[in-house]
Amino acid sequence: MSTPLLAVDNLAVVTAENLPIIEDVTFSLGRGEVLGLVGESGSGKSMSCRALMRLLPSKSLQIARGAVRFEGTELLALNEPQMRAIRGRRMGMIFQNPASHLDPVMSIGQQIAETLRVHRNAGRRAAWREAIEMLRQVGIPDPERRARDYAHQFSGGMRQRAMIALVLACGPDLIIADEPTTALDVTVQAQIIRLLLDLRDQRGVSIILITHDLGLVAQTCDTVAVMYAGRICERGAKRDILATPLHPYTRDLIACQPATSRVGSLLPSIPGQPPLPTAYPAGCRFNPRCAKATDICREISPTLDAYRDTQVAACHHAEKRALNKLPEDARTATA
Amino acid sequence: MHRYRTLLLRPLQLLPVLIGISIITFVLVRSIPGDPARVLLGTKSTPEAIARIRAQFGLDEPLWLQYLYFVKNLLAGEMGTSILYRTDVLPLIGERLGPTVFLVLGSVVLAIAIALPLAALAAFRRGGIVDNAIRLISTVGLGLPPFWLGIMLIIIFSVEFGLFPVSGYGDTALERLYHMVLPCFTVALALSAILTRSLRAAMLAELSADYIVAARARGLSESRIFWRHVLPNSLVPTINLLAINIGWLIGGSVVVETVFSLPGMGQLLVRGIFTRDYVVVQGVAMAFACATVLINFLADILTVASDPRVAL
Amino acid sequence: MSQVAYGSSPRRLPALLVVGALVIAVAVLLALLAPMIAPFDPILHDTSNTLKPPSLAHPFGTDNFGRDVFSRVIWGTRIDLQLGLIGVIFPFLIGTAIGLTSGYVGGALDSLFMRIVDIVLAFPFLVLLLAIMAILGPGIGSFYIAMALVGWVSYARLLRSQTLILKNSDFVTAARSLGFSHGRVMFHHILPNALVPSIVFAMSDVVLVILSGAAVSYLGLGVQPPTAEWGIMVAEGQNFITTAWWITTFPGLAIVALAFGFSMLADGMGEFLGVRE
Repeated sequence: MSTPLLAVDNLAVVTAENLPIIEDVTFSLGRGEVLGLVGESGSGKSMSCRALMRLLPSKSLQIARGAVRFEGTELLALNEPQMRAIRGRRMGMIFQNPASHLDPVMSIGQQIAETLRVHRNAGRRAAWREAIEMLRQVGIPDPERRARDYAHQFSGGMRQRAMIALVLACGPDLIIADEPTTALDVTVQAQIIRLLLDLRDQRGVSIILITHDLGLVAQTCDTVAVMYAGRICERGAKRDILATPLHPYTRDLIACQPATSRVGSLLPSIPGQPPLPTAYPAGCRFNPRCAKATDICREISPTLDAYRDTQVAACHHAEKRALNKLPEDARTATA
Repeated sequence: MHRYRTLLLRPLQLLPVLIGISIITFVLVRSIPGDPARVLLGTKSTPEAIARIRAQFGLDEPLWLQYLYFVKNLLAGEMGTSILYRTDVLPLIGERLGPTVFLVLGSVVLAIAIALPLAALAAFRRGGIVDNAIRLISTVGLGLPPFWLGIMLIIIFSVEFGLFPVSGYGDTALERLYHMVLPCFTVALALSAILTRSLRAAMLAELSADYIVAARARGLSESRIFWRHVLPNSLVPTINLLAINIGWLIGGSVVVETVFSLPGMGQLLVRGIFTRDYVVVQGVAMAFACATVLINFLADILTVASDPRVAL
Repeated sequence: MSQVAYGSSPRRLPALLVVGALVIAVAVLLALLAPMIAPFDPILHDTSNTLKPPSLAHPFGTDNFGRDVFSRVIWGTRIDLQLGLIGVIFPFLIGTAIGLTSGYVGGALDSLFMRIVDIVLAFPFLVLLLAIMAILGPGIGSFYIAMALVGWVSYARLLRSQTLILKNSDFVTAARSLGFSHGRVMFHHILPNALVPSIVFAMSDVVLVILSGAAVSYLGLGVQPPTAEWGIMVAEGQNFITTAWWITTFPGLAIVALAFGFSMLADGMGEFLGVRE
């Protein structure tokens, strides 16, 4: 297998008081591959991506250990100016709420032109022309006029397109999309996803798609990593994960999707809440909410072990499940 | 351009306020006990002068009619004659306008020059020693009475070090600049205390905003982010803030003019009060109020100019 | 039944609050105990002792009448503290009443009051204060009246905006649906919650009032000599800055200190109650 575009190895982030926010985060991404990073709010999906971009939200958070190899370079060893040269140029991030992530008093065209001038040393006029071109490529009609508009003058879907244009301007190889469609209309969601996939097809851009929507994952991703309480609990090819999940949390997530329930029955949910870093349970972090938990689950934290080709899971009972290959009843939650 | 559309109609909306200002000023002066004619002319006045003013201001008529006389005279530029200076009030105000405008503008510019770097420093080093020191200093600064501060500056820089003149306005432009340093500094120091606190808060709010995170994710340098993104976004609340504090600023300049014996409108007002020169008091109060209204209007225009989301 | 609509208070009192409260407490003590603490009479002249620099006997020196500046500063605490507190109370009460009614009733009444507010606000604060005091004549009483006539505006606006927000909140709707009268809803439900920002504002407003009172007295229109008040003392001392800098310096420092105390208190309270500026 060729060298992956991005290889994250055992990444860990801690607070100033040494509380683990994310731990042992390991995944990799090849060129043109779409990785789905799935989990509940607070599971660490966004934090992992911010960490690999070295854009932690607060000074009190630190990368404790790990390695991030991107296009052959070890990102954690770079200094800030070097890192800045990579951000926006080789890798970019689009966010859930495009309205708040665009400068409200600068025109869209100017914001795009700005990245071009900073990263590619483009001249003012050339940058502006290219900004218009970028807007055209993401499907914004009448780009010459719209480039002069401001964020508040765009509709939700157009804003997200503008955001994508902004990130795409310097031709990055990796785009991290943090819940890009959650705040959008359903009809617009499909368009944006289509746009992202087109980028993958036409330019070979790799995408990390952060989402809690497994339906979206099913449509778009090649590989999936499921996170819970700051750790990856399962990872592998999409088909394997969705068809034969090995971790109880993954199975519960799948069961909670409206599509997998029977019409007329109550929508199942996983009882309880994910734990906070200040109160992680002993043993497997999922054990308090897991219907299949046994004593060993409450004492020893499981490691991420491989069970099939590329599927790994962190569960003491994964092996048994893998061998059985039985589509078990996933209704561990209240129905 | 269409954003300015409603703003151009603003003068019409301001009309009631201006009318209200004239009513209050009128009522204020008419509430002075005693014969209005004597009140306006002073105790030493000839019967002819009294008769004349009775006719001009309709002092024998009912109160509401008197108000109309007042407005009529106002629009003709007739605000009465100063007892002390023996000239009409309007030209008197015109003469005194210079020093006051100089003082106010100079203080604003100086205050921004002081507050901006301090606020930026505090915002960037949030929570650190520098930040806390700046916050402490600006809190102390809030409590500095301008009249006392002016005197302190005079003691230190004029008396001790002989760097600046003690008082007065000077005659040539260069001299004036020289004379105005201490007065402008006095007002600016107190104003910058307020500005620093609010600018710092505005900048902190912007620094943690989502679009700044997105800008960092694009690899923009901190300095570019500050100058091209944080600062323009902090501008609007600053303009608002200055507009709100303009009343305070003018009040401070009134006192400072007295401290430094500057021949401005503030000194005119204070002298007028002491000499019972009520036409002057009336005129100056109205002038100040109208100026405030005008400045707020300008601030609105500036706000529309600097924030594309706003359409007033 | 009324719920507190503000952020939960942290268990620790912020340092600002403590420091501010301490300064105010010292000031109050000085004010109350002035007759006992002040070493000299603040008003009696002593022509043999004029313009003496600071010394052990006279820590702040003496003025041109031979009066001990230190004692005068202590006695002045009474006046200036009074200026600050009374000068805030009347505007607070009037403004709160007007703001609450205006916000709650709405309609034409509200428009009228807000128009009046706009007009009053058009005048620079000190200018209007001076103009009113010009008519009423100098004196501390005129100051309080003038403050009441001018200062209510900020409180009215604050209370009104709070009332407008709270008027449509759930607990008010619940109260009305339970049949509580307008008056009861206004006073028992809206007012307690609406007051919080006003109280914090009042603390910082005290600073403004003290400075205004001192400024007005400096100009000669407020407190009259020979009363020991810090503003007048600064004015009297200005004539002697080349020979006796202490006369004007120390009273001013006292103003700064008291203002600082109230500012800290205001900031600390704001932090404690979770109110943002």
